[in-house]
Amino acid sequence: MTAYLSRRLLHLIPTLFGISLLSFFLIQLAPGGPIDQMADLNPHVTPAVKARIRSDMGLDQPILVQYGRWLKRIAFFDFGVSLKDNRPVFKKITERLPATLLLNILSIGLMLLLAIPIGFFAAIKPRSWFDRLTTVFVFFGFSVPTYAVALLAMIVFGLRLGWLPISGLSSLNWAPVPVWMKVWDMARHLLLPTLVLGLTSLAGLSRYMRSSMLEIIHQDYIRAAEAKGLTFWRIYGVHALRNALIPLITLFGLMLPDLIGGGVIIETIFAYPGMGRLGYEAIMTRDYNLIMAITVISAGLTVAGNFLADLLYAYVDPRIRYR
Amino acid sequence: MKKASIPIVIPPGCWGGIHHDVRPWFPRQWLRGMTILGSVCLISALFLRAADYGDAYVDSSIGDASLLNPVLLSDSASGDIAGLVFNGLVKYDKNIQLVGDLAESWKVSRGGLVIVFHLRQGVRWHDGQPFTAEDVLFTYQKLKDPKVHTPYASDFDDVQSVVAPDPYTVRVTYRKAFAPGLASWGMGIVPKHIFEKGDFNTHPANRRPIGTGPYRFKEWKTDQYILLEANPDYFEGKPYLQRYVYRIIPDQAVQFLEMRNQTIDSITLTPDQFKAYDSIFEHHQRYRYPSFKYVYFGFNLKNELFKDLRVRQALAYAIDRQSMVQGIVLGLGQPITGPFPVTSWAYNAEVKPMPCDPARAKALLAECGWKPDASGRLMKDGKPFAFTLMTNQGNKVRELCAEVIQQQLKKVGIDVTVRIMEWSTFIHEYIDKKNFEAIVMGWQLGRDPDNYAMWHSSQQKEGQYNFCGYENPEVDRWLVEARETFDPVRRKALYHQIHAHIAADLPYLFLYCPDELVAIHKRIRGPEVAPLGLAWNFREWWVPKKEQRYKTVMTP
Repeated sequence: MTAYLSRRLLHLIPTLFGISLLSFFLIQLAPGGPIDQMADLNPHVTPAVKARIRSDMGLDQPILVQYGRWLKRIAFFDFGVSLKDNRPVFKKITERLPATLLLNILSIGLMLLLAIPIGFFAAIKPRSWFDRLTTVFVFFGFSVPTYAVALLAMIVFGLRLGWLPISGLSSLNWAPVPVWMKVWDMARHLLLPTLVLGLTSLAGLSRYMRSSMLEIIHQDYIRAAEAKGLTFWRIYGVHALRNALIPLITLFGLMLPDLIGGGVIIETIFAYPGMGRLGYEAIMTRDYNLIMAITVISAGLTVAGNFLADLLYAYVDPRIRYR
Repeated sequence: MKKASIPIVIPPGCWGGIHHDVRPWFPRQWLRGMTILGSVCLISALFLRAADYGDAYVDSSIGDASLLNPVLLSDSASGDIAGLVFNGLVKYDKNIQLVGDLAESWKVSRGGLVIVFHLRQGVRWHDGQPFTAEDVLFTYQKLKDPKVHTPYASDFDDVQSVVAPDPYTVRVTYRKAFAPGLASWGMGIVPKHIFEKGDFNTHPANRRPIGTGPYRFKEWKTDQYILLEANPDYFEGKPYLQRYVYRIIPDQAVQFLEMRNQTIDSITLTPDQFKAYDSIFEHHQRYRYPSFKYVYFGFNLKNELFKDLRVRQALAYAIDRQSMVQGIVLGLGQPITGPFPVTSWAYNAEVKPMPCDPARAKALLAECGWKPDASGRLMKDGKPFAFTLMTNQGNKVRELCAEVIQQQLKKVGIDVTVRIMEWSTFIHEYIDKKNFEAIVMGWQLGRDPDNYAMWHSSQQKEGQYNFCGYENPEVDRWLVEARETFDPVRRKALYHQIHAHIAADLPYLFLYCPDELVAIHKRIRGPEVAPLGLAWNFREWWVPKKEQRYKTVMTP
């Protein structure tokens, strides 16, 4: 077991190295650069000034040299400075991280909370009205574009009924307000994005759950348990469910990078200050340092998630143990 | 506008004004005069009232600011905030004329080689420190510092020296007379005592600015909002709106919803939003005024097809600009004839736009040897009149313009292929390298009409802005002269001439200037459209006490 673990850990390092190298070269290949935002078609900026700023930022060095310098900095966990506003990249990421984690954990939590019971009960009574209804509902949520659902939700709950705020993360206050009011305010702002995000991504997980449960239900040991006279909940809620959740562990592992990324559309629509928007804007403005930092972090999380999923899988299912 | 009723008391004997030989009033007439005066005051007090202080103004923006430092910023969001927090030495008034801001007055001497600014006294930075000429000197040093990533260094290339003979005078000496230089001193002045310690590019004051402006920085939650508070010691008077909130809402549709929900007070509208049902705008006032941008159809003048002026004139006759404005911006714009903002004093309104006359277009093309073949396509020496029209991706308006041009030119037998390219590639591979036949692009113009960089024949190198290849020695001379003359009458005449000649030479086919479309909440009193735009008197906008919405905690 430990040999397997250490082998996997060793694989991480060249994987991350390869990802960072590839990303670095790929983003440099894209036309344009970080100061185009400021310099393109701006009569104030002469080519001489542009060249000077580029060399100041180290952008006129050969790509390999630039990569080498970046690698040296990363070794000391120095992600560098954002080329857009000269702030440390690490600071830019950490100030968005809590909000992103909050939204993603809440929406993934909602997704799990709904998808597992839906899949479970749909499998118990296949082709029943519950199964059919939830299938339609889940696929509807999956097929409808999220921004359309979001806008509709905003119009209904924000504009017409006035129950919830339309966008943002918090309201402003000029006088200090008690903590409970701040929490309540934030909860109101988070409700719509969480609902929209959670309800529209139910489909995949619930279908997985359903098919996995269906497979388990037809196994011999379930029939044996029924013959033994165990209660419904003991057979399906404990034995069948546990076995059905095993393939879902892989999915959970792959959800780890989603915790800090994705959701650009939701974040843009809800004016939510998250990492998805940060990454998107970084790409649009060719902010190389920020793009690389987000890529490396995402890659690290993906690899770690994968690794974790494998570990959990091996732990949970005694049949699968690698030598 | 401060509409206060000021009781006027005129002592008897002084009523005559300049005529000092007036006899003293008889008491009866004096009494009558005072009664009339008194009733006028009373009536005016009833209808005109003093502006109220208070309330907050919530503005919306698609993007977040990046650097709140006027020397470093280059995006419009940062510019909006810096415009409220900082002042320059000069600024533009409502008619796009330069007036003093931090400089009370200035004197141009020695034919424009020396400008002496006399600064206001008693102006304080937001942290209480006094503003002096040292700050101006410091700002200039930073602008010229090669280590500072400022996009404005080249505006000050012709400056030979800047000195401060005393704390309230700044003397700028130029190497040669440079009229736009005066406008360049509208650059926000940054505080020396804050920035002298630390690296200018990464200074924390770029996130928490200290300026001299009408609003003080309070808070910036990245990508959520920026909060400013009125500066009670502002030298022109305390602003009426107590707070200014700059909310970042990246989606235009969501901004519209927030406007309808009355949770933002100001929004820039798209043409179709502007033309929505009146009931949607029951709480808002819509404004439209010409912007400082224009859209044009540009030719590569070195290309065989477009070398001949008659061909370009024919294309001008073939295109119906009015219907373009009607179709693309729903009539919220106007066709233009020259390279200046429509509301600027430099725009020559006497230049007549070329009418849409496809028959004349065909005749002109026939003169040049382009004859229609059996299917109606124009041919010359066996080759059809076909070219590629390029524009950048992501700008729906320009794509539509290209399509309209394609359609209208097809009617005269010209084959146009529209090609849409990603912005960076477009600029670096096609425009900079002059690797294009025709383009649809736009310019965002500054307040000073100097556009030497776009039209002078020396500006054709790679990366410069005369990429269409325009060369006219007369216009060259006038451009240079207009840059070096400070006499406003002469400058106006020169720019009018330049306008007329460029309109005649047709290096671009100037299409139209779109309007700025803004909606502002009705409770805000004071917005007034002027040639400069709408926000020129923002400091004087106010909300009557009864209608103020944001008193303590802001509801979303």
